[in-house]
Amino acid sequence: MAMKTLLKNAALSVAALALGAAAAPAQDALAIVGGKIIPVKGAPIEGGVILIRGGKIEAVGKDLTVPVDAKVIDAKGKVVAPGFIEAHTSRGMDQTNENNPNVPFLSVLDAVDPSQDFFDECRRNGVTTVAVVPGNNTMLGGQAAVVKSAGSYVDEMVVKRNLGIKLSLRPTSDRSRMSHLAAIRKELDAARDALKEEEAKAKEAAAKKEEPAKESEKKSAEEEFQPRPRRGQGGGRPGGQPSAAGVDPALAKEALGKLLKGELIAFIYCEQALDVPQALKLIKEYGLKAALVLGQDCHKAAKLVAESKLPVTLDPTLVYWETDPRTGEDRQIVLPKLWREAGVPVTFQTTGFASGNLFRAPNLPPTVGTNYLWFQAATAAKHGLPKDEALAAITLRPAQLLGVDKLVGTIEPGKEADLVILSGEPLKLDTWVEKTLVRGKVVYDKTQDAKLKSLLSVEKQ
Amino acid sequence: MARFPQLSLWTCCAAAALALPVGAETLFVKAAKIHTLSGAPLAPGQLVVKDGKIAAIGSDLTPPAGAKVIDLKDAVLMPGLIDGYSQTGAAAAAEQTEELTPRFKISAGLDWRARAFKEALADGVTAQLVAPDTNNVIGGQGCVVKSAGKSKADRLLADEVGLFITTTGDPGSGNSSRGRPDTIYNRLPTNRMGVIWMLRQQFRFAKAGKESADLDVLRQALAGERPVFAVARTEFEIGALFKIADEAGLKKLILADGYEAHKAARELAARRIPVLLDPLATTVIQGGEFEKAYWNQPQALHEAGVAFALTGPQLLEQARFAARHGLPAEAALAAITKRPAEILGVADRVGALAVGKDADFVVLSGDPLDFTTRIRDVAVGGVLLHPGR
Repeated sequence: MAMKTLLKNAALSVAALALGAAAAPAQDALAIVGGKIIPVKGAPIEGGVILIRGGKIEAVGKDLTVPVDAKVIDAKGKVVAPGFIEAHTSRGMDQTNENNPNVPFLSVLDAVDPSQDFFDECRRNGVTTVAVVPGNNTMLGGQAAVVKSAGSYVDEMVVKRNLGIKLSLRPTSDRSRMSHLAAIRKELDAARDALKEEEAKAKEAAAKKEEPAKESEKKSAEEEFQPRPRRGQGGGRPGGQPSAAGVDPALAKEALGKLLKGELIAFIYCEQALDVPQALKLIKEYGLKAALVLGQDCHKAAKLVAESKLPVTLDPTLVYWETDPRTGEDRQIVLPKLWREAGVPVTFQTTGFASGNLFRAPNLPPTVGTNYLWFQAATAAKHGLPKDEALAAITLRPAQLLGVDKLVGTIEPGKEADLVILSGEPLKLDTWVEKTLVRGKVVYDKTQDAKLKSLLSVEKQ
Repeated sequence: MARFPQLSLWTCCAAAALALPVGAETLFVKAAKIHTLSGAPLAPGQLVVKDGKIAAIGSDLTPPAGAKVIDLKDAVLMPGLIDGYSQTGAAAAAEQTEELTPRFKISAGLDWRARAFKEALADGVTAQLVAPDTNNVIGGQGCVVKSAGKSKADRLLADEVGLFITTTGDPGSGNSSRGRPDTIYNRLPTNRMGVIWMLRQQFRFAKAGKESADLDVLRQALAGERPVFAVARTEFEIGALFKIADEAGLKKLILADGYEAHKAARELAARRIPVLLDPLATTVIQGGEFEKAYWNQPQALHEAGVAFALTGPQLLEQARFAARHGLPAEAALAAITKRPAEILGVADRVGALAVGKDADFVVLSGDPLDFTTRIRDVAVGGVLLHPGR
């Protein structure tokens, strides 16, 4: 190898290390050449080039010079889009919710299982980033995180560790909304008081520099946090009472304190339309930074949601029928259409799928398509959303909702190289994901997809 | 709506929402393209509708004098979809107290105003087979019903259709003592052994001339006057069906579900047994008894020369996915229109757009096999019904 190239490579390696490219893939420099690039921000580029280095997009354009050390992926005739982003999912974990409905201090990262079929399906269908959020069967469900859909272990996948907290307005167990909301307020008030106390003490401490105040934490034996019994050790589950014994209140207050300070997003689940004004009230009262996760019924509160200008994620079931209980009138509800008419930009979720995996979606009616994020976008396009907006709804907009739009969501220099190479225009019948890349590394290749091959090749007699 | 004033009254009334106004107007329907399923597509395309039937269809027709012109502009039309196997509107899909009910007709238990018919219509389905379910070994007789129409009589395309049997173990569920030794549910069959035995026994009795009105129905099936619709899923169940058919001498057989039909494709083709396929799904990759799913099963059946129809909810989406997974486009469209009509014996009326057939069609915003094409409207007897609104 020529001395010049050796030095150049050495320099590049040093540079790569300097950039702290801890996830630096084996192919450090990569070029995707010849495809139609849909950057989402800006016009599509026919026959364009994407240069990637150290897992980040270095340059995007036509007629760019491909570095000699770059591995080349020929994308001629293909379409390259940003990796798709699912703004809210409760899959990827062993269970969607804790039994205990009041666990804001827990983190989904302790439950995310990179080996799950869910992440395999994500990669197969071009989804590179997901927000894993605790399910809706809770009150204060735990902390969400943004993860990539590829990695050998969780820490490799993390994009944003402390994303937010699931706040569900659907009452748990036998409670009515009255006591459920009161319980939520009680927790938030306690956290707010604790914050005020902290602030007051901090002021005092600043005033009297010689004698810093000490936080006295009283912990009785009963209040010591009990670790969750390990599976298989015959343990039952912690009690399902809201402010249960065995849970350290300080942990909850700390987590909720972050929520009140706006360091965590409140993912507020509104099951029905009547939950929407309650959500807006909570947001106003406690100054929450929020994103709404809306059940089907919430289209009836579309106007309120539109006025609030809050980011929104729709129910996975986008089209269904309703019978008005008063008039008996049957109506087909097309959620993407209703929300578009209300002027609310939305993001999508997918329905689950049953697999031979730990996570089961029980009683899941078999459907076609709704488990694909691109299909949800196509459904919105079907009902009037312009195709480029439909694509933005599964790329840039969820990135913005999750606050990771500096890292992902478009194909722009400086962003992480999360890309999907499609066999044709997105949302088309014959378009398949050919390759999915996360941080410049190919994490899915259709030609190597044995599972898909098997599904598409009936045993010949 | 100014056109049909009585519509504005009954659109508010759920009860009448599926009834068409009585009117014998001649209609002239224009569209950018018509998939007739009876020859090459027409682009542009026009239909002349008289008394709810297609009087003329072509590419350069002119409106007859006095005809009302319905200009659908850039729309693409196709025949109203036919769902080849459903329990739509069946308030009761099987008799609970007995396992052998060959004389029971499901048309007697239909809820004609069921929301399920409106849902079907909004999905483009203008007619469907309503079948007894598999709770009984011999469930009875089905009917082919339109999702909407001028009257009940108009909607009933065919009654007393077929003889419905099953070789699955479904009839066995619920047949247990339920803690009471004297309950009627403590009865045959409790599993597949009993199901197959009962079927063989009944056909043997029928052949032996045993007197019974129930067995008369089986004798009609044996004589080939009545097709036998058999629900079977696994390779074994389909094999058991062949055995019973051979032993009894059944000539007209239709397989419903057929989750593993591809494993018996050659046999099905040789015996000329058409298949009313279990609904396709992308959210599951295995069957109820852990049978492996094959997303290109429709393609495999097509290549093996087995006549089949897609059935169930999301019919148009199913056709799209079948095409995506390898079924040729023409076959995908036929599988939700022409084929089910042929299999159900109603192809003289529905399933294709041609002179003499019913003017039942779907108005689409584009290519039917495009994920971003939407159903704009659905017509039955030439009357646009705007379902879902």
